Amino acid sequence: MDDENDSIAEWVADEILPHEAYVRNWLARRWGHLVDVEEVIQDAYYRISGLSSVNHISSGRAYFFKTVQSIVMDAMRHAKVANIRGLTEIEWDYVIDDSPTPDRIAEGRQELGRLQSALAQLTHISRQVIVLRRIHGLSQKETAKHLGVSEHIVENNLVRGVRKILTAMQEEDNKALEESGGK
Amino acid sequence: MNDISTSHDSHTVQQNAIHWAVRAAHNSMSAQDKDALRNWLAADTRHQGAYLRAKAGLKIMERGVLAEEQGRIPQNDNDATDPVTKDRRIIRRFGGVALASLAIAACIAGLVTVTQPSLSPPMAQSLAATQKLKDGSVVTLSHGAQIHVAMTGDTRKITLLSGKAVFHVAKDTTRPFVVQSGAIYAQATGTVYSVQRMGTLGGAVHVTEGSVLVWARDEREQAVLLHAGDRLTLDTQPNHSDNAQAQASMPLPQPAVAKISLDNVPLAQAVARFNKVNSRQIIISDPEIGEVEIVGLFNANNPDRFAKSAAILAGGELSYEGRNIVIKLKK
Repeated sequence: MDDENDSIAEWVADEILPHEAYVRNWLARRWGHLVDVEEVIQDAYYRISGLSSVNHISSGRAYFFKTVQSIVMDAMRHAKVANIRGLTEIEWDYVIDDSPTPDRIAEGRQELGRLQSALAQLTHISRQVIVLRRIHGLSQKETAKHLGVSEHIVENNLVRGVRKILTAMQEEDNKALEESGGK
Repeated sequence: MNDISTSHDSHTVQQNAIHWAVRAAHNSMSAQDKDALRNWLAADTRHQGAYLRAKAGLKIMERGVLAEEQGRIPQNDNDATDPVTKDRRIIRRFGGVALASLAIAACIAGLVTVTQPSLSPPMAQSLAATQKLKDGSVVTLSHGAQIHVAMTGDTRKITLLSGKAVFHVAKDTTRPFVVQSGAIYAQATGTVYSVQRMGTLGGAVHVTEGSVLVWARDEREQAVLLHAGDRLTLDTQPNHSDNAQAQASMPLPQPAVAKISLDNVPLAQAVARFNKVNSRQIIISDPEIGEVEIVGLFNANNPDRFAKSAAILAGGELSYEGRNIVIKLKK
């Protein structure tokens, strides 16, 4: 079960998660008053987890937007919001259209910045665990022994690390919010 | 491991998802744990999404740490002026197990720091560092280079955000290796070449070994094939359209694997477009096939799929001559 899903997880790490903050910001700004942003994002990940292959998707970022779009649309239809369709499609077209290259470069820098500040917060143990396991191929048990801590501590350090990364990835970037403009 | 509850609170869902992702990735699960994970995933659709997200987060964390540790970058510039001290530090860091690649990376970092004393600010990949990618390709970053790597089932895509990088591309003909620098794309399957970022949209490509296909924006069918020793600088200024070397006034960038769009184009002409960008040539053996018009959007790097569609359309069939594809009339 895990293996077949792993290439999807790799892809999400490359193409989806790095854009989460951007999608969240946009969603909150546009639709925050009508939908629960957290729920929409969760639902988007659920839909993505159902993909059996991602080979047909050329841009994860655009795909993420489209998924979020269809979730919001579904929610609207459910809530029977009148005339929502005609109104929204114009707005969606606006956003899904890929932004100009310099903006995307700036976005890429923000993603990198987010990642770096999260990496800087990782504990020494987390780093050592990753190096020992992934470079030296030690088992979890051997890693714990090598570091002189319990397996439980090894696991907890990794869990805390992942939590920091995920928090950093979803963090609202006020500067980005202003720059991408409320248009 | 039954301490993972099934609460529906979104924070708890995330927390549980991370626990499971860490356990699954580090193979520390018993058969019982695996069952518990399966049950947890089945209990709520949100669990599946959160689990995927947590796994991706774990991957990002691991890659980030490995990239930093492998191409161990000095945290400040003075730090790396003495490669020997640096090596000792690395050896100490890794409990006496010195990896050759780490030592080499450290030396490169040292050398570059000498020639490039004031690089700012210290970033994860901002000094020369050698990185091995998942597909076996090796990237050497220098001049404040930053890259973003995206590997999927059918492409290996690297975005050069800044600086210069040398790529030793591992051979994999099924997955083109594409480096994007601004609006410039350079694609190879197994070769050695460097790409340097030029301004906002440009790039300079230098081929050391093999051959590399270079194009700008979505104009892959007008790509130039560079061979060992060739250099090409494309500096596509957004407001300049008179740069002779560059196809400067072009539409916005497209995905790395470009498409060939055909709108009532005779097959003979369509085939010529494919043949210009692929070493695998398509041959039309009967002229009347060449007159059939085709409509469609095709991946430029997949002549096989195109030939198949073309053969069906023309009522012909395919045969192969060495690496080449022949479209001929059915007997």
